[in-house]
Amino acid sequence: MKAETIILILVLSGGASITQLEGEELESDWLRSKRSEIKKIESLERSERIEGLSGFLRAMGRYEKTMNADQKSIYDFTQKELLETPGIDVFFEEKLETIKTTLRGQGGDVDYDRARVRSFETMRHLPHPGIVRVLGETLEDDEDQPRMPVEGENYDAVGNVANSSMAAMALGRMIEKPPVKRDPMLYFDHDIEVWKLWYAQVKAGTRGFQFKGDSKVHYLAKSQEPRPPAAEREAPSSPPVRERERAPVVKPATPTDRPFPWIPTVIASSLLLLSAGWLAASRRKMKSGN
Amino acid sequence: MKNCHTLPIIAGMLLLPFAALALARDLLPEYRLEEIPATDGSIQKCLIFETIPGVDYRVEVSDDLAEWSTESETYGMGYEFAIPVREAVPPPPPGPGDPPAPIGPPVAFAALRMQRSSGAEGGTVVSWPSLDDGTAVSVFLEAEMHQDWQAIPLFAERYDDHEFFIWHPGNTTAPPAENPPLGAKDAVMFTVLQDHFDDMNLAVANAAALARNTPAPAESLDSKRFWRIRADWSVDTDHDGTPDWSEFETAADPAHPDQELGDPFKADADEDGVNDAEQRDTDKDGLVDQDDVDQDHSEIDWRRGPSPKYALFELAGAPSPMTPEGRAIHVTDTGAVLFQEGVWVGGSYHTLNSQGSIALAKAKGMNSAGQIIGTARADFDEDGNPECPVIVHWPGWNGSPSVVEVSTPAGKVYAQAGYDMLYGLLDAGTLLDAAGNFFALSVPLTWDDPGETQAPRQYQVGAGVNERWTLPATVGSAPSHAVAPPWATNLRDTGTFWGRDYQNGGNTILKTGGAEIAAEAYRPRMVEGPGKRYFAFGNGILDPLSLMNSQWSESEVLKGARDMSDQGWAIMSSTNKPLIWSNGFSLPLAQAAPGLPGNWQVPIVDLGDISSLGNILASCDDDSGTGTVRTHALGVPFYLEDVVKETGVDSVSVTVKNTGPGTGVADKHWIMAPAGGENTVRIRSTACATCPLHLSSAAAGIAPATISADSSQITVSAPAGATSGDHDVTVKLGAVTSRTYPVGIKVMKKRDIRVTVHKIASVTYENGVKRTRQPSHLLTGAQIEEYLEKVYEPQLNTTFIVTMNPPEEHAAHELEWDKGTPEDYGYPDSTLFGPGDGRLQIIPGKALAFEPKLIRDAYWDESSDINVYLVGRANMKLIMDLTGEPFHLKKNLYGIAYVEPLNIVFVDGSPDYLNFTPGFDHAGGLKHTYAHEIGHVFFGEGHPDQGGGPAPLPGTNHQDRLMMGGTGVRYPDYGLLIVKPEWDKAEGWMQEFPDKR
Repeated sequence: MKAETIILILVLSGGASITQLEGEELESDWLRSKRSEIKKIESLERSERIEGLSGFLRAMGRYEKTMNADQKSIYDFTQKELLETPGIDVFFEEKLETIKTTLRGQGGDVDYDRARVRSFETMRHLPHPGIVRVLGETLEDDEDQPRMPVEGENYDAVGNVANSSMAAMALGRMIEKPPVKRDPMLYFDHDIEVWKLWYAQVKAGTRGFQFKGDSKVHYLAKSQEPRPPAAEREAPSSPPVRERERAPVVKPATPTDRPFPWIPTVIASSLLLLSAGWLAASRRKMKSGN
Repeated sequence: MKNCHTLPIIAGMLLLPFAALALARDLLPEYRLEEIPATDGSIQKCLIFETIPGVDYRVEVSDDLAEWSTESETYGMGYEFAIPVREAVPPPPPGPGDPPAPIGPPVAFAALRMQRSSGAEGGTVVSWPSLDDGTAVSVFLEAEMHQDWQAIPLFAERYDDHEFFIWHPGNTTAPPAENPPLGAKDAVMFTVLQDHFDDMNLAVANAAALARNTPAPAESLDSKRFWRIRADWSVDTDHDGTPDWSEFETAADPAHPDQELGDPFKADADEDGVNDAEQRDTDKDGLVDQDDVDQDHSEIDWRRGPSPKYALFELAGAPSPMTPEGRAIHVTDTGAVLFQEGVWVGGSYHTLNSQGSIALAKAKGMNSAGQIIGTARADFDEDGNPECPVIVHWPGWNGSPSVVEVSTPAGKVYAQAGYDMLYGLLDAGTLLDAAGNFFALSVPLTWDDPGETQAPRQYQVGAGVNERWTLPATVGSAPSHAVAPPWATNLRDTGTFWGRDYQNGGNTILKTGGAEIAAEAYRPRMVEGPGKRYFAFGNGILDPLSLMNSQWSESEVLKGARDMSDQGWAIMSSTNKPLIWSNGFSLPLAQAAPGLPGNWQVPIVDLGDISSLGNILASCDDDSGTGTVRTHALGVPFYLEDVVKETGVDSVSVTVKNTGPGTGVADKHWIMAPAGGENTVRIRSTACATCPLHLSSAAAGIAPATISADSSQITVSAPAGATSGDHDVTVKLGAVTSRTYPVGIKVMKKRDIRVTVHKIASVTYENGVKRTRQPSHLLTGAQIEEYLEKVYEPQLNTTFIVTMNPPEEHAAHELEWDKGTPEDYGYPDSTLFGPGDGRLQIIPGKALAFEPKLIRDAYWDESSDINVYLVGRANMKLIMDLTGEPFHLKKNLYGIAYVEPLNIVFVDGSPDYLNFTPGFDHAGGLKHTYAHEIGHVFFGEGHPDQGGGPAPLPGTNHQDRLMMGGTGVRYPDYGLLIVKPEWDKAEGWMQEFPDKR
């Protein structure tokens, strides 16, 4: 019996936490209410759904250091849903352009600044190669320079920085072994130049990258190698594609891109062998007992 | 001898104004190159520029035009400033004895104003912009200025390592109540001044004073060098809202109406307890500029007031405007529209009653009491043939007409219309005053046989004489008549009337206050403006006149106006586009009447009349497309007032002159309806007992729903579960629904805002000794919470949960945050930064600076919506970097906010800063700082008075606004207004939090 439980956990560990929590009896009121809100969001049309889920992802992302289990489950679920949304990178790419034409210059740019800040704050929680592409391309976007005080002004509110800076900060917070060691919040102009060089290599396909907490190495540019068969292209950790409105520029990671996950495989295999052995021994005992 | 073989070259010189708020001044000071003696006796080629009093100058040098550094900074007092460029002639060889000690550049340039004290004890008053923080300093000095100062307005001399520039305006001034504590630099400078006061007097007595500094010898260089001078015109040392240069200019102009207010070092120059900015009156119309509808024209001499938004009721049931009887004549204060043969009132049209012996009755005028006069023909001889032109009156729209006449046994005197009234040439709205008075010819009628009673009777009609008639207050009573000038035709009341003097070229005469004032032109309509000045209007064809000093002259402001209400709202037209003017600016009807339907947005729309209280009569092409059929409408003005100040009403955002994008202009008046609560406001309109208006909203309750007075208190409420959103208020007059929406309701959800105030004691190590500086403990968490709720709950429906970290009973967290190095700030070669420099340095344009981030990372409550850091001895300084060379702005910040996504606020808890004004309510100022900085988190960066933020609302009084930046101190109970565009931004900020949606 115990061995079956272990096997079940191993299978579920790759899925979203919210699936597990649905079966739990002791669900908090908070979680229940959030799940209910998210269910409503799930039924909305595409852009509203993405915006709604993004809002939850950012809100939970605020609790980076102190996230509890409930918050984590919401974070994981919304992140997974967004990552699995086809063309999520294109959505944010287009949004950054759309808000320029619709919100920029209105009402002290508050809505515009908030819209782009929220876009970057969402993207930094989405470890998706396409999002890296969007952020990388945005490193060149210096249009919205921060407002500087004039002498004599009682300047007492620091506003938002250029998209290029926000893109670099987002990359700095999501990429493992970033090219700039400084805290992303403190980036200087020359740090962004370093990120631009980094992205130029990534874009050219001469450099791979990993997301924080994930050993998988991603490449953006078209591989020089022949495309592997479809079966081989199916990367276990790549989000399944429900629909595709626009062909992504991102090349899915190929098995050759990715180092074989030896350690988890060995552990899982060992556990499976142990479990199987224990199960067999138990049955032998039961048989012998009979 | 200096290095003559490597002469520095002035390869170029830039003179740039620093301040972006470039004022309309000649920004380029006079400058020249001149050879003058230096402090060591050598002759130096110098760049000399003339300083302008009140302008701050910074001299910057560069070797490559890329990297610039500040060489010196000085406050202009009118003197010349000499910058040594290169040596021209070496100094004479030293004589016998010790060579003179070399003198380097001065440590500081001190620009002072010195005046004799007007106090009984004599002495001298010295004022200057502080060398420490730029604030105004005024100090009493017992020493007396030598009498020869009278002849020397400017004096420049160097004592010790200070270069003094002294301006002596000649007049006396009151000494300060007590000498203020001086900052470190000021104290050193003042000591030098005291030490050399006698030397200064001696120099003045010897007439040796200069109005120019003596430069130190130029530095020898091996390469070329560039100089540039930055001029900061925005310096406002006394924080009275007027830049120093302007105050100097005012003070120097004896003809300036506000000369007594020209003191750059005193916010209250005339010491009457009122800030100078609140007293300035540019056009000398008796109103200070910040209250004046028009600051530049004395003819507009009334205070800013509300700008009306109109409900527009199409006149259902009224006769077709294309028929003779369908011509609307005028509108009354009660919302009645008079037609020739009927009245539209209360939402429906009523034909005037007729009477057998009266024929061809045509209404001409109606008053707010409902009385109507008109012309008709009477059948005096009762022969069945009405032949005598008379004036008739209807006691009300449903009453029966009767001839205005007084009977005597010998006959009668009846009223007859003169030519102008008969043919509609007079202003219909002022034919009949509220008390029933009007002017008409009094015509005597005598019976040939007074005893004859059988019709037809024979009569004789005498010559008519112009008189003032008074209609009876009750039906059945007789009217009365009294002597009147022959020219009188229209009136406001019996004391104020006017007319056309045909004896004098047909020009207008106005009689008011017992005086007759003749114009040199004719204008049929007179209006007494809110400032009690008369304006004469010419039906939109002739430009209006205004009456000033008993003289009529063409109005400079109201050109094109057709008529005006008593509140100063005028109707105008511009190329067939109707405009409504108020508060000094005009709006198209589409903006004055929000939601104006399409059939009113056609090329031909006309505003024909405006009543005393502001009702308008509008007409337009119908939307049939034929361009021939027109529709009339009644416009009813609306505006709002807070019953209690700053509690969720916005009638300010509509009063913006510039309605362009980014100004924050609102389309209508707004009420905030708190979900689960209520908001009581005063709604102002022309509703009356006989013209009640019904108000309703799909999302909020309004009680009472019917208003029947021009000033009505209503309570707006929304259910506890209501979601936030904007909703129109629908207005109905009788059965007619307004086509436009002058008032809106914004429902706002109830939200709790979690704020954690982290108390940070600054720890530094000086020579290895730990020093801890505690933040001010002026306010408890409960006091902060109470104040934030006072400001925000009535305006945004937000309550606050303020947590002090650590709690009040514990000392502040000790944190060694002052350890940022130049490298940490990205300026490895700068000397501005350094551990233990005593400054929390903020870099605009960067997501977060090093030291603020140290504090933020050390104490950060993720569960709080806003984290506030109250930092002991923070000395928050802005670092500017415009050219690659960073520099500090002079002023310390009281607080600074980092907007979304950080949502953090730093508040300077330095006791020093809190003591900057003796007697000031420090705790109150600190409260205001909390509310203001949290406001930035809600609404974004920028201040309305600096043209920033979501609601700059140019032309409105920014002193009332919570988000006013300004430079002066703020008070906890004044200036807390949050306006609709800011409500919206706060709503948008809260939408980011799932628990607040």
